[in-house]
This record gives sequence, C-alpha cells and structure tokens, in this order.
Amino acid sequence: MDRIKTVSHWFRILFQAVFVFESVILVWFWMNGAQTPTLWGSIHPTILPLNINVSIPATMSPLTKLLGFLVSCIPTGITLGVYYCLIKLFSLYERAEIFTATNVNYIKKIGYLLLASALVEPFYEALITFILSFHAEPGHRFATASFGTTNISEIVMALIIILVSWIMTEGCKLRDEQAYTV
Amino acid sequence: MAIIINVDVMLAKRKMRSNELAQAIGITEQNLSILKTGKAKAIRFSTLDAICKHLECQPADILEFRAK
Repeated sequence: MDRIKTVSHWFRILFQAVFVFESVILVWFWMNGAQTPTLWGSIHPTILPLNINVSIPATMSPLTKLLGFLVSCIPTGITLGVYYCLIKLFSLYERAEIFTATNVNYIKKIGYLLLASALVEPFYEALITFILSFHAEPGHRFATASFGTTNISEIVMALIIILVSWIMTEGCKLRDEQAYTV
Repeated sequence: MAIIINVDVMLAKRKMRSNELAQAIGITEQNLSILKTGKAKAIRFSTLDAICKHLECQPADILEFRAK
C-alpha cells in the first residue's frame, strides 16, 4: 500500500504540473504567437494539431489572438478536464481509496472527456485554420478538417475506458452487496 | 427498502446486548449494526436461523414488510 501511495503522490504532482503548464502555454502562445518555443520543432499539439499545415503569422492582430485563444480553450479545456480528473483520481489512490465508486466515476469522466476530445478535434481544426488564415488575402483563406485513423483510434480508446469504468461500477455494486450481506 | 428489521425490539424483550448476540451467532458487531440500522442488502438463512435460535423467536418477529 505504501508503494501505491508513493507512486500516486508523484503522479498527482506530475499531473498538477502538466495542468499548470498547459494553461500557461495556451495563454503564452496566444500572447506571443510565433515566438512560442516549439516542442521538438512543432507548436504544442494541444493548440495546433500536428497534421495542420498552416503558417503561424509572425504578428497576429488582437482579434486573431482573441478568437484563436477562445477557440483553443475548447480542446485545451477538455485536456485540462482530463488532467483534473487524473489529479483527483491519484489523490484518492494516495488516500488508499482504490476500488470506490468515486474513483470509478473519475475514470468514467476521463473516458467521456477523451471521447469529446476526439469528436471535437475536426471542428476545432476547421475553426483554427480559418482563424489563422484569415489574415491572408481573399481567395487564400481556408479551413480544413480531417477525420482519420488517429481520431478513430482515440474514439475506440475512449469507448474502452468507458466500458471498463462501467464494469468497475458493476463490480463495486457486487462488492457492496457482498459487504452488506449479513 | 420496505423490509424493516426489528432486532432491536427483540434484543430489548430478551434483555440481551448487541455484542452478546453478535458473539453468540458468530457475526461481527459491525455486521449486526449493519442489520440493525437497515443498511443490509441481504441476510443469509444461516444468520436468520442463528438469530431466531438465540432470541427464541420467529423470523416474522425480526423481519417486517411495510409498504411505502
């Protein structure tokens, strides 16, 4: 049990750090645009999906920054939601609450958030490419949306997590029935 | 649930304490408390048999159905 608590403690701190990092990088990007440090040569994937081929304007108008920020809040919000649930989940593991209805609920929420993320991605892609290309001359503005095997894989993973959480919920009910059988 | 457990009533009638009954029928005080407070989801026939034997009563004295 001590090992579970120790590992859970470090993962909780990791997810808290990533939660803060994601929030900061989102604000930083839309304030500084192309000056944002890249991650292995590409802009942070939460803000700009890796398969999008649009150039980030060197200077963005305040309107572009505001619209881009607001639209980016959608997928980033979902990602932050996942991290929040992970923080709560590992906090429960730290307190040795492992097979409870509460933590199964968080696992279910993570599944639904991942599903939402996969479904929202094409719409976000269309919006962000349109916003970023809006500075171009008429006729050179575009919006792209794609839905490929990566999205399908994400949806399948999310559905599997939801299914596992349902099974764990049923397991908790069976366990409670056993515990309350005199 | 509409099933009411009247173990407390029978314990009072037989002037027996909960811990004595729990020890006599071989269940923990915690389990007996779950039964008394109506949190139990099921009771084994063996437990019901032991309770009735030690409290010298019928199952109907312990279990009551009250429609809501």
